[in-house]
Amino acid sequence: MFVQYIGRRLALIPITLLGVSAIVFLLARIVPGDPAQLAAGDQATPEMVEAFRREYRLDRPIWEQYLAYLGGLLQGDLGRSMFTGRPVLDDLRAFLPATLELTAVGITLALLIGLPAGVFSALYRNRWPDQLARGLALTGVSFPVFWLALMLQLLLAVSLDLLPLGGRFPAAYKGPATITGLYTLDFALARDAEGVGLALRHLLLPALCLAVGSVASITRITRTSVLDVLGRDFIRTSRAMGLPEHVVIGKYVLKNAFIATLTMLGVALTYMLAGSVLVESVFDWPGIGLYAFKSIIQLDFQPIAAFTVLVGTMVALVNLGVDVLYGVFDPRIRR
Amino acid sequence: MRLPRVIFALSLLLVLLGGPTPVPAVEKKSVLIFASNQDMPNVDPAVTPMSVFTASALIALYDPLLMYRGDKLQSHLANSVTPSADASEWTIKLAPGARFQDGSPVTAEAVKYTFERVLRIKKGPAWMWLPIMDDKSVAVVDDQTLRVKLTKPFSLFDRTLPNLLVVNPKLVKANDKGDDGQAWLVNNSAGSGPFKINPENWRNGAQYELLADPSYWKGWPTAGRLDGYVWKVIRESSAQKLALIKGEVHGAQNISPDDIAELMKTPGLRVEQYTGVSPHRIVMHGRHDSKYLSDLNVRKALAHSYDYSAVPKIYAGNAEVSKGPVPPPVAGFAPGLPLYSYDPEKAKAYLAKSPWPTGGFTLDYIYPAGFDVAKNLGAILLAGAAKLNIKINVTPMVWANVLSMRTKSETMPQMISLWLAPLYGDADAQLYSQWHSDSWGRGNYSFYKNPKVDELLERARQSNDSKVRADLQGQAQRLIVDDSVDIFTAIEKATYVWRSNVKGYVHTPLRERSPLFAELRLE
Repeated sequence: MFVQYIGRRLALIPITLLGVSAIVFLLARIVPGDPAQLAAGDQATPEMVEAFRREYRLDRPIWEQYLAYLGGLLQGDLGRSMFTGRPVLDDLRAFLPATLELTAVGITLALLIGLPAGVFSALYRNRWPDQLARGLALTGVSFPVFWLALMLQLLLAVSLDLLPLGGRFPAAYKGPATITGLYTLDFALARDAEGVGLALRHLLLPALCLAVGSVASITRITRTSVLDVLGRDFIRTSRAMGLPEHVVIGKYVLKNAFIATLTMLGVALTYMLAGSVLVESVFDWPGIGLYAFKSIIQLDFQPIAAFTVLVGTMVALVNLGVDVLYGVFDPRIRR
Repeated sequence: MRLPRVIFALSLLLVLLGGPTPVPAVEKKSVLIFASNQDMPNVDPAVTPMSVFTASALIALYDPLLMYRGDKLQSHLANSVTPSADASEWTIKLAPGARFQDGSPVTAEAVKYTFERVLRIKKGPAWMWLPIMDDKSVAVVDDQTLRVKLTKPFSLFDRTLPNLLVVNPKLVKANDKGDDGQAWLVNNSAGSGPFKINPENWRNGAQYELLADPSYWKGWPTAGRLDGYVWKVIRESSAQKLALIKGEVHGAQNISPDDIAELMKTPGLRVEQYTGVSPHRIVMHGRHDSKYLSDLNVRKALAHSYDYSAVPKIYAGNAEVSKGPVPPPVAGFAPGLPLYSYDPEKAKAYLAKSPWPTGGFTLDYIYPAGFDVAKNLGAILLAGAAKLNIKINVTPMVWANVLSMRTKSETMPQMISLWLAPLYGDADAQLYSQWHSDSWGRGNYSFYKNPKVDELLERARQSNDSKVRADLQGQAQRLIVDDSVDIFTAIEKATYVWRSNVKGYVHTPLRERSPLFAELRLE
């Protein structure tokens, strides 16, 4: 049953993406503004603007443009940016790994901080660790991320000189040959230990800023969920049977409470993948968030459509992954 | 008990990864790191216009026929560029010994190919030549000589030549997949310039490294040349400022006016400021069916209601009040134009002559979304107009929308905030493209048409005598000011911040955003 369910979910992904691509394609073309005028430049002659329109098929009916886009998509061709002339696929190859690396570290930090904080908060309910964790969680969700990023830059990068200001590694350092695009991994594959350290140092601050909002959510949801499980009969029974506390918490409470955290983790992951534009902007992290933002401002259709389809795919896969993990943590769901 | 352990583990992580930032290798090699908020994703000189920041990379990878340096137009790949008496035919003689980076000679055939490629592709700088050239315009006389026959006389043709960067036809043709090599030239170069792309450190959206070509055909101008430079994209001005203070970069260009004062006081940094060439103005005449702004007296009233003394404050002192249609560093600038001054009484007097002597109407002022300076310049307009009982709606708009609206007067906003920098070194670059009626729907946002101005500008274009040209252009500027189609507000200073060990910068007004890295050195 569970396998069939996963199969159905997988089969729905292409249909969802088809819908997403159609909506975005249509929306991008009905918003006011003429991308050909913008891309051709302030001084472009009408002849230049028309040549531009022809080259990017903007002179064709919208359904024809969409079919051509879908045809390209099926062959792995995402079109070219009107502003840079670069193939969108090349841009995504360049920018996506940066976002994936940042998100991976961000979600890891969020989990490493948020999960224990939530558990301790519940275990020490209404005592100082609980008050501290709740206070920090509230503070975390309250800070605007760009302000926090600038403050952390000032404190940790400028005043204390502990971490770099931004970028993925120092401009003058010989960067890694791009294999995966994840620089920590690429430096490691090149056996450049100094490079790995530098890449991690550059990751820490933006990842921390990205994680802050999610830490707060994970802490709060984990706390509530752990408190809920702690009050259940089977926990009382486990304790009455004399099981050691770390077994009760580690094996029974956490496993049951983690379902809710997992849901939040899925939400946090999709938020980080698609919504990291502010962090990417402040830390000059060349990821897809920044790429999409720039493309939207310039009405650059192909990158906007590609970004949306990509994010749609990632969200569908993350949700699917969360569903699969539900089954891992709660075998009843598999039945 | 476990809580302190978590805190300890996190602290340990920070300590392990943290620590003072290592001294960048740049201090050891002679590689200059320059911060800019602008990306340069395409270095094809036929696609990317020289008006943007990418110009510094283009001029590093490619050579032009003539080159702007300081206030002068200098020979470069061309030894001479000579017009016929009526400026319709030009003879270009190339410098002997010029070579592309692959060692092949720069020939007249290569220049012809470059011209034709630009005209074929119809992007970037093509707008300068499409109206005056066709595919038969360029003829090769011999290996070192070309003849360019224009479709109509244009005495400023030589001024446009710094925008033509010569490509190596052999390389471009070898990589032509039916697109004139456009896809290949996005990330590769085929030039004869002093720098080459470092493909190992050419990271889209992040940083771009160019390495000096030791065998550059023209030689290197000074001892202690750079081994290379890195164009590092730092989008936020505050982050650029911090990078300068920390010594992570050697120079930066687009610092926000608010940060400049602090950097001026920072030891180890040098702030250099020059008169800019990108004047800001408020276009008042774009929408002809606006009954209020079609009235000359209303426009004059608004021009006199504008408190020009507030302009420098908006830029934290890093701007001057605009001096008319043409910025002072550009040839053909007319000093002493009868510009409008802030004079509420005169403003009221002009309004009294209009059909709406007591105001009581509303106008829209559109500025590019996200540009606070443009919003604040609009606030000055709003404050002045309020004294005339005219209400101004200061509204942001995505620039793409304005560009689609500016194709017809009927769709133009009533007033817009506009910056347009000259793209070649003569007043004509501003005047013809912004106030000649040929340029309606393009640079002439004002949809301005004054037959006398058109005639003066056309005559100027046909004169090889710079004094005659300046005189004709001066007359045109007086008429433009008198017709009060725009409020000339501000010229922001061109500001560079360098670390004190960076030497050799020569400011070239027409390339105010694009330093010539070949001339810089680190001491």
